[in-house]
Amino acid sequence: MRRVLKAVLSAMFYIILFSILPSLSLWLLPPEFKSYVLLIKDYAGIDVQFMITVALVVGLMLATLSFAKNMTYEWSIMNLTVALLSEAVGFYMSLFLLGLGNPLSMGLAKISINYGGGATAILDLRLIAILDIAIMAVSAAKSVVNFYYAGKERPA
Amino acid sequence: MKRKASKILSATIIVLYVSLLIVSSTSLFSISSTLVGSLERVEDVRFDSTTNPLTGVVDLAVRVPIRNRGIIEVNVSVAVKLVSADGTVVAEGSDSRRIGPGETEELLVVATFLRGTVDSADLSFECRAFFDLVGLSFSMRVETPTEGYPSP
Repeated sequence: MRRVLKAVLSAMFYIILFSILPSLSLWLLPPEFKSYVLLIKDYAGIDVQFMITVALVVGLMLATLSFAKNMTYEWSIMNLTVALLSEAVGFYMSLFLLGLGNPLSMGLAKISINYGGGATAILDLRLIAILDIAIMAVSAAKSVVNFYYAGKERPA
Repeated sequence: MKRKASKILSATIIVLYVSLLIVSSTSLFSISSTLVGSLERVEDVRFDSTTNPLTGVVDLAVRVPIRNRGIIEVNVSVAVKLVSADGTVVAEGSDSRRIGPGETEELLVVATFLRGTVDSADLSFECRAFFDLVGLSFSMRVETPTEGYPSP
């Protein structure tokens, strides 16, 4: 019972953080700010609505994975697979946000502004992307270590 | 053994998360504050030009005051590239300064060119923070008036 409650609560955390809060904040925006969202899309090509939709999907994926992780035993291969998948999905989400919708930019977001003769803005967040990679790598290593030792300590 | 290895990895993850938080918050706050602080004083940008009536040589000096309202040092650079109608770079100038938190510095860009040869100007502005590892840059092309150099 305690395990199920923990699994549900952790899944709820991801749903609230990635799926409900971004959609709710866009929905609650005053009309004048909503027009800025459209302007950003028209002039800078940053589709905030699309980013929120991706966050919603990622939130649901992370919630499912988190639920599955908490419902499985640490020594099961399922638990390890789900833990590694969670890291990969979380890493994709952070690269997606750092690249302002383009995860392949690896933290170097280039925004072409449609204004007069044309302008370009470049947001260099590669250091943050590198830290993200390090966090993902260490978290994955931790999952593997936990899986390895849980298998050894597994009750016969 | 498991506990020790897991604890070391957990501590590493916490350290990395704290580093991520410090890097992103201090650098992004300092860059955006410097940008906003500079845009608020955009009317203080001065264009001084002197033209030699005999040779037609124009000396253009652009003074850009930058104020760092952030919490860490930023490296700000401004560059101007004057381009002729056929795409040749006629003149270029740039300046960069390291500005500490709360300080104001003036960047000076000087360019010398022949009157009537400039068709457009490529302007770029870059602001970097956290040992120049995080940054934001803008570049744009503006058409110059018939006088041959950017108007104030």
